[in-house]
Amino acid sequence: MSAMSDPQRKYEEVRHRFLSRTKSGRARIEELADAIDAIGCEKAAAEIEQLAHRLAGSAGTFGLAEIGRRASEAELEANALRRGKATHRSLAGTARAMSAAIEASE
Amino acid sequence: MNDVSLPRLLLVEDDPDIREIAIMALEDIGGFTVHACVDGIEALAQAQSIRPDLIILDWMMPGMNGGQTLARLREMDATSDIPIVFMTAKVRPEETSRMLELGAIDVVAKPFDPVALPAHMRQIWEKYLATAGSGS
Repeated sequence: MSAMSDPQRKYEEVRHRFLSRTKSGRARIEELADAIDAIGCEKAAAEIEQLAHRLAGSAGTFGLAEIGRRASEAELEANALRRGKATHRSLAGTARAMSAAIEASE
Repeated sequence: MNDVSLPRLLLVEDDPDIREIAIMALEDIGGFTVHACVDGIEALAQAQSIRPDLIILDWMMPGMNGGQTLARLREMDATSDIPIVFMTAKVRPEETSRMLELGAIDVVAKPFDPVALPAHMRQIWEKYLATAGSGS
């Protein structure tokens, strides 16, 4: 008999789904990082900022603190790039770090 | 003993996992009654038909964002007085000030702790009742 309460079980189910969905989005993050790095693609930078914002606001709810931290860094870097205070290379770097955190998470 | 009855909530959140965790926390842990919808357009329709006591509104949503949704809710007689709490990852001081200036009664930061969320919402509600009751 499982000792897990109903809310706990529901939480684990949703967390698992969230992490699976996030991991399956890694390829897109890597693609965007390459586009930002190689050609300074602004559309890719905007999409990274949006993705990072979403992850920064949700990962911590599921106990995925490192993903949340790296996502916040990527969001801040994207914002800084828009204001001319960062480079495409640095944004690509933070996006890849976010991707690595996703890969490492369980 | 605090016998303030719990408000009926309308949760407006486009992320399906966040929406599900928030509903679970508020209903299963907190005992709230929660109606949920996924965007601003649905929020306008549901707020008019359900007349919730309190709306929890995401800020960044596709289409109509939280600020635009709040403005539209304020324009309709049926929903103009419903108190609104923003739930958002945009929590720099200038961002939260702007949300309060737009008319929100409070701002809840994302990511949220699902275990703590119900008590936080209850606290916000009790503070709102105390303020509304005093006429200030």
